[in-house]
Amino acid sequence: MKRTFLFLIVLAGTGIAVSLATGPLGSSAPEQVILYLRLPRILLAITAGASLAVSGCVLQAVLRNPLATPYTLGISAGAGVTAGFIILSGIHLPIFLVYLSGTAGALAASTLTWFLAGRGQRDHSGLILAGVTVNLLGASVLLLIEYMSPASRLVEIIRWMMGDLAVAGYRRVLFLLPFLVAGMVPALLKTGTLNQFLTGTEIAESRGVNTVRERFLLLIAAAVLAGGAVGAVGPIGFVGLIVPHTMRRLAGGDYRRLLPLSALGGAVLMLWADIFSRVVISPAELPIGVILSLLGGPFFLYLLIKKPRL
Amino acid sequence: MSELILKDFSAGYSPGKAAVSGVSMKIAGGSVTAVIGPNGSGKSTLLKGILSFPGVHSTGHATLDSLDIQSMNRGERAGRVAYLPQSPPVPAGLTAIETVLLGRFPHRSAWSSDSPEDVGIALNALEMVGATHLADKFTDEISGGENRLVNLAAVLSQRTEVILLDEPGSSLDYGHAAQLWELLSDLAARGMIILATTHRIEMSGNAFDRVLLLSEGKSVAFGEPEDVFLSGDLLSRVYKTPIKVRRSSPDGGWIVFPGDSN
Repeated sequence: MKRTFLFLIVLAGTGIAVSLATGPLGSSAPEQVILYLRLPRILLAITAGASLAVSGCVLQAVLRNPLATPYTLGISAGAGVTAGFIILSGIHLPIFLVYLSGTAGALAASTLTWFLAGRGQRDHSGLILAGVTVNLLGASVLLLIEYMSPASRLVEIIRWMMGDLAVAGYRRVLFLLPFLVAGMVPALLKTGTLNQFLTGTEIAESRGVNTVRERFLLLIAAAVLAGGAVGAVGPIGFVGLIVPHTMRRLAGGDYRRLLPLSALGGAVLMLWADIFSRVVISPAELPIGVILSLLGGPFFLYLLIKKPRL
Repeated sequence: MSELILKDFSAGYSPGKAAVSGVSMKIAGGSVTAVIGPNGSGKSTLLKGILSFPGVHSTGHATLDSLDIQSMNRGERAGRVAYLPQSPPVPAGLTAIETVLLGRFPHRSAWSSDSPEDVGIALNALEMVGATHLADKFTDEISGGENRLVNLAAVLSQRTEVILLDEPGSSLDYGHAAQLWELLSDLAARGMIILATTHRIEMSGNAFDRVLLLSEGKSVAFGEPEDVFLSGDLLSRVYKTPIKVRRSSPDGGWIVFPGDSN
């Protein structure tokens, strides 16, 4: 674990250095560019990456499914619907409320998933099925919104769905921070409980875990983490899938190691994906969602070939 | 010594619909009880009912040393009663020793690391089931039978007075099955209460000293093996086929002759 941890720290350190040095300076003073554009962007990549990775890591244990991601609960669809609706309606909201609307949609979708699954009384497969249903429902509503949108707004919606880390100042980081803390702290405190979920509900219950309550709390933590990240950077996919699997391969499945490493791994992945998004077609930028989707496809292939561990 | 008492105990998956009912028995520490009966007779549900699993509704009394098991908080119960289901999922990504250490969960905080004492207990449990050689292997890379041994070691590392086992011998070969029942017998000799469902009484040698026979969700007989097995055509009626159970020798294990009415 120590080697993996050190490796990630080195990757994070070099990523931060490269990110600070990457990109055009324009006519602004370099310290202004670094302090108000690049540094907040780095912080946003780190916090959003860690949030999405930990969310996926938690869900893979609680839902006992190696393919579970933050979007299994319908989070992406929920956020897409609210963001799409706001863009279509042309309502001008304060920027904080715009972020919050994405988060609200994500959390509303998770809540709907929870109730559709019988308030968690059913097993993990019930939750996955409900999540798939909510995702399909949300995707259909979003398609309708896109169909009804004029071209300029349609582009805006599509662009939002691809994710965006471009920031000026620290507002988005500050928005995400409370969600990060609210989700990360309980997840880190419950790593032993997450380990018990790996052995199945019955054994976990027989070892003293209140599985219904703990599943609910952990799902809330995962939804809060992913909901906050989606509100701040858009529905960026694959981080919550790729990172926990990679960390599991490198450091094993014990959540006391896996969860902190996934947080670090998520931050590193997002940091470097952001760097690539800025240099591939420089001086223009590729949406970070595109970069991660391009990574995600081959990764699914890897999962198909290699037996996934959960 | 501990004492487990079930009194008119029923359990099922919806209120008022018992999958198993009318179970009354008193088991003292130092005893291995085999719960037998045809498929669907309620054996697994009985174990889940005793542990008050979510979604399992029970009525009647289940007490351990006069304390209502279902009124115990989960932590207290986990410190006194351990359970191994029939087909637990394989916690992949974990080694066998890490899996066994999960059994120490009731004895520590949810996020603390494994103490040297925990590791010692886990290694000892692996040794008891004859699986020390698996310690550093990943559980998703060993066989089903080996995983069964690892899970059993995890149950032992929980260090409880009562162990409830659902088909513990399933997926074990002759040698390991015999070893398992011997181990259960040894554990009982130390004062523990073992309650194990099984379809393969012939694999258990002479390990159990009590038998609970269930049929169509009802308790049909409870007592010493001789009383249950040699009680007229009771087994034949329960299993709906001629069946004879005899000892291999006066002190030997049980041999089952299905389809044999003589």
